[in-house]
Amino acid sequence: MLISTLLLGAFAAQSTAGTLAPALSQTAIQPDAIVAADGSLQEGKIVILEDGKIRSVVDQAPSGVPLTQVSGVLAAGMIDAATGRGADRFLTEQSMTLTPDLRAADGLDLDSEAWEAMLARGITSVHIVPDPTNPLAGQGVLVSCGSASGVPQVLRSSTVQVASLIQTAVNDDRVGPSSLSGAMELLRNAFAEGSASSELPLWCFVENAEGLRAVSTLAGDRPFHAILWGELGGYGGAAAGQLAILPTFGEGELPRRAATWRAMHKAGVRFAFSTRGGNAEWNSLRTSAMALSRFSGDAQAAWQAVTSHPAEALGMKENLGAIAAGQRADLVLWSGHPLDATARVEAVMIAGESVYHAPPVPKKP
Amino acid sequence: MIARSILLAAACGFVPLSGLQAQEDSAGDTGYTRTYAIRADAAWLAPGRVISPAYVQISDGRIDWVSTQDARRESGGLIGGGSKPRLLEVKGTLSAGIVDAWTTMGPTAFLRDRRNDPARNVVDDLPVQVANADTSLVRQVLGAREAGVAAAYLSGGRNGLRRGVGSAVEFSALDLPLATGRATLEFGVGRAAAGGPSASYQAEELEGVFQEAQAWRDSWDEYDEKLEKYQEDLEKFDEKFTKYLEEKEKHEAEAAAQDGDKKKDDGPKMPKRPKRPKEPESKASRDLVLEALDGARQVRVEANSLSDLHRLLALQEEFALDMVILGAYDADRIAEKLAKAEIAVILPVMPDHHATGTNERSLASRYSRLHEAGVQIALASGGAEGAELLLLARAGELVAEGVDQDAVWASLTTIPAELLGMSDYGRLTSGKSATMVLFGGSSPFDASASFKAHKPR
Repeated sequence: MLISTLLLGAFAAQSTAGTLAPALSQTAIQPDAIVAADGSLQEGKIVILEDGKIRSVVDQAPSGVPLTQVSGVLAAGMIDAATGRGADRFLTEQSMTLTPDLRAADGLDLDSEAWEAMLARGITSVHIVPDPTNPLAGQGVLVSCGSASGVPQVLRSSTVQVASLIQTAVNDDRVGPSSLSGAMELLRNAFAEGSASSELPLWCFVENAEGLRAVSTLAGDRPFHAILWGELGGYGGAAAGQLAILPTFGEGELPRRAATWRAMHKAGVRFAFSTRGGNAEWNSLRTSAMALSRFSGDAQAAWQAVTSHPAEALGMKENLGAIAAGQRADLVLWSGHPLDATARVEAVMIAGESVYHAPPVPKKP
Repeated sequence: MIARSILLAAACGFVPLSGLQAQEDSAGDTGYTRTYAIRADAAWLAPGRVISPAYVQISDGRIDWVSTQDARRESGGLIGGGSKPRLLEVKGTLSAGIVDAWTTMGPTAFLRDRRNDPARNVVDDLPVQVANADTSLVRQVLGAREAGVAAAYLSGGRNGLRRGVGSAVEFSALDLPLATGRATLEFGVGRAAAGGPSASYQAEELEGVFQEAQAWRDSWDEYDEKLEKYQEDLEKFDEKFTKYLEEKEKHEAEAAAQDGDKKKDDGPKMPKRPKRPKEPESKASRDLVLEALDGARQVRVEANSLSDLHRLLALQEEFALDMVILGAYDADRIAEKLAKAEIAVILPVMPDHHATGTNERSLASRYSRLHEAGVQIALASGGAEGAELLLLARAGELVAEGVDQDAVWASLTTIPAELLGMSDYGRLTSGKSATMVLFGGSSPFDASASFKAHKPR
């Protein structure tokens, strides 16, 4: 609903800018190959775009639709499941314990260099969440990294209610609870009293199996996803079968991640990668997907961890994260498979509008 | 191979003391025993050299031959007819394994020992080749193997100016390291030398290390001169002493004749014996430096800042050292000078903010600059633990940013093998190690395709 409103808005802006394109006109793109939902390459496909969305993916271009042939591999834009990038300050309120209404949307920095940096790496949407320093941390915001006007656009201003049971939220050093049970008590009361939104899905930062089980019970029937923090080895089978948000790796964390990622993948955990971790690099979303592919031997799970799984966690599976009919046309043209390290981003399209072109590759020495 | 030698020993009537062999005894004996062949869709023999299809025959962990045709021959069996070695058919492209020229790997005992001993040698702590001799080390080797690493370098130390002796290693059938390759001596200057004094002081101190060794060597010339004089003095002394004895005897005879009236004091004086000069004192850590001065040890220095790199250039020129620079963040800024001095660099693929304080220039731009100037570059996992798992992803990004793929692959295989003095690694040709990788995509950098490390049997 919100999406269509936004798209209409974008369309209106375009019209006033004097674009002569007729409303609802179709265009067709024929790349060398597309990255299918299962992560594999499919050659000979034509993607039909209409009104900023993917109308269909076909083998034969319908007559009368202008066809653009492009060299490269067309893939859905990557989605960062939870990040702090693009926010202009710390998204937290240190003097209070429960800040259910702290909105990440209010801390957006639309002038940040982060947006261009993310587009250049094939990331088209980010889910910005508050810092996990309060047991009830606030609400996330889903942002599209670019638009025809060059400004990032909010796709959904209140996405999820973010809670946190990690050590920074549960310790003696500051105002707030000093134990997991204390924090759970606060959360239970907040939900019972209605101070925490009951309509939004619940996402909770946890760092052990105990916290994960406790908050899963609290979530009850409401849509719930865990952001698995800390030493991943501690989760055991608690996250088995869940769609979980996992931080991309930072320095020195790799050997442990390799073993635990493999174990979690084996236990049926579906990954959605997040750069909320702090010291992750710009490219860590893709590098983590490549590493997961290598560790697990499952390129499909690895590709979905940066596309359709974050979309699904946000309840936007039908709108974002894949090249399929009805999806928003957030597309990235790569020189090869996006999980091939030698491939680079050539161009990025958001809602059917070209928003980024890579500078030419320097001459090979 | 170990098993075979034990069998052989038993057959010859020798009973081996045990199956365990010390490092020195089994050096180079990786323990692989089988003979078999692999057929793959293609093989990268060396950077830029591809054959298709590819047949590779392996025995005892080494490559017998590589061919586009099945060249297996029936072996002449002692009993009955011979048979061809088994053929494994695999999908994908074979290539030599990666040589990781800078790692954090090490024997547990060695890594725990935090003494700063400039004569410490990692080889002294390598475990014997027994299953599970060092489980933590085995885990590290397995991790490296999984990432496609066939051989690696274990550092002598991570911090301080003088870091002792590290070693290139290959991996045995028991997934334990076996020392091989060129002898080295390690140092670190600048911010790399964590916890030390300021950067310039450290680089000066490194100069001091070599100057002291040189001065010590010069002091032997002085000693030789003194020794010569001592020997001359000794001869003179002998003459004097003989004379003295004669005089003394004469004196005593005279005294006896004069009935003991003469005082004893009036006799001849005994000559003074010359003192032997002191030999210059020897020190294990200095001996290592002297070996480096003689070119018998490669000097590995971790350094990043431009000023430190300039000092290293001067040091290399002054003492004609065989030098490799690790880290080398600012090396691209003096690429031509490094190329002229034939100093190779080992670039870590993970950014090390602690060592450089900045990471403004991308790895791709620094690599390209050095490559253009003709500097030998090895890409390594570097100071970051477990970074070998990202070696291929990072190296592949260089290709995405315009660096020639063959050059990047050479920086992961042939160049580090050469730098470490591991002639058996880096290529797929007869006589080389059969620790290989098998990749499914167009290159080993493609994580969307399959990737497997091949451990010989």
